[in-house]
Amino acid sequence: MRIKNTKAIGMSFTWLFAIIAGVFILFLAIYGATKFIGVGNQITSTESAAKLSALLDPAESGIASGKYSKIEFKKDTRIYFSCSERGDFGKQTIAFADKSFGKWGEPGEEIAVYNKYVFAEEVVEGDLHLFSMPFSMPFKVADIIVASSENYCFAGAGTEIENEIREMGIENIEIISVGENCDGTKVCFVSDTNCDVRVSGSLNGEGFVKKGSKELYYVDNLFYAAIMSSPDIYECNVKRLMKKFGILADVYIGKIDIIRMQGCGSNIEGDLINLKRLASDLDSSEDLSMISQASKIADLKNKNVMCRLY
Amino acid sequence: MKKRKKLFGKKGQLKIQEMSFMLIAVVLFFILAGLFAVSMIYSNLHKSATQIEEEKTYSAIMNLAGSAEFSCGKPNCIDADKLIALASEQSGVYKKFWSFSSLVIVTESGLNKKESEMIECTKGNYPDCDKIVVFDKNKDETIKKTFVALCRKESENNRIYDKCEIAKIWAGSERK
Repeated sequence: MRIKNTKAIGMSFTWLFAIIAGVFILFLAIYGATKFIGVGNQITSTESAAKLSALLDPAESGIASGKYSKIEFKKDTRIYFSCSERGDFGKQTIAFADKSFGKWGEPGEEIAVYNKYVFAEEVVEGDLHLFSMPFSMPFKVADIIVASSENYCFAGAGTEIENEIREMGIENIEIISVGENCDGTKVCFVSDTNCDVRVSGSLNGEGFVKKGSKELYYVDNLFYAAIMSSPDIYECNVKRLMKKFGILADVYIGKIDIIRMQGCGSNIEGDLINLKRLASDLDSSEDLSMISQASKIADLKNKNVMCRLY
Repeated sequence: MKKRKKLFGKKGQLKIQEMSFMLIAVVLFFILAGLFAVSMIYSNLHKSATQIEEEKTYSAIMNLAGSAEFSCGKPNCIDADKLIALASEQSGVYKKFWSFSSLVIVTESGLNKKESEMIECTKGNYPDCDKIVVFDKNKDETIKKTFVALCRKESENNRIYDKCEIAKIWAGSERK
């Protein structure tokens, strides 16, 4: 009896040990595999965000008045935009996530971009419509990029805006008549019903865009950016643009010294110093109008001399 | 009985030893396989990071002449006067702005010279120099180059005009 019992104990110990060790190894393997897949997805998403930031360069308008391009994705994707005004130029970050097995994956690492001004909602889902325009005040400050994926309907926009949208070939903006229904975000330029966004002002002039309780003020080409961007990203990018404007004003002041050596003087040094001060004091987009007015005076002075600074 | 007990005890110990050696071997195998996989991924990651960096440099250099800092207002044209002001006063600020590891504009006079023979432009010797160094982070890098027109204000017989000549942009991307 005793011998039988000992055998039974020996067998059960081996099995017990094998089961525990097997379960432990299996658990380790499954855990490792899921982590491995997770890290793989993270890497792919981060790579995609980095590649997307490289694609933003050719999307910029350069010396052209505007440029439209569309990026199509093979999978369902989400692009996360954020903006920070800290540092010399501030920065914008782009992160990428895609859908696998019907579920949205975690966004990859954020890729920081310092030389791009992308106006968009915080999360953009689906194919990306990009259009770029130069922002000048009075000299060119940067190319602004407006990124969106949803459809917009402009009600009562007028022929000038209609022509510009048609010439640039922007696919996700539809011009509709007042009172017409919209399958997307309805942007009203005149009094209308069911408006998501209301615009008060003119194209390439000055005005403001009302989104819910927030008012985003625009000048020059910031018109579309104010309509299609989230209020936080818009205000942050406006501040970044003004930071760059200040640095460029210093570059132009330096250029005045250099061209002076060739007997080529400029009469806008004082205006540039004043504009730089106004830009550094900017609190919100509401102050843009004041800088724009001052820049127009400087622009007139610059155009009236033989030796133009820009 | 005592002898038998001892024999079973030794057998049990041997089994435990065998099992633990087996376990150590299995765990070691998994660790080695994991390390191999990680090193493979890591080397691929380095390769793709360098490749993306090069792609970014290539796409950025093509559009650089149209940027606010470089543009002279005409297509593919750089304002040399603006650039020398930028390079001499704002170079440090612009190091982080672009993703390049170095950014140099080689003037027409420097095109047929070795890099060591080129004279760097300063406010003092401009325009009698060969290269405008916007910034250089002194990294191990691959360089992409493209031709542009480089224009500056020039005076002759009290007449001011824009003098343009051929130049090259050298933009470096860091090897990861």
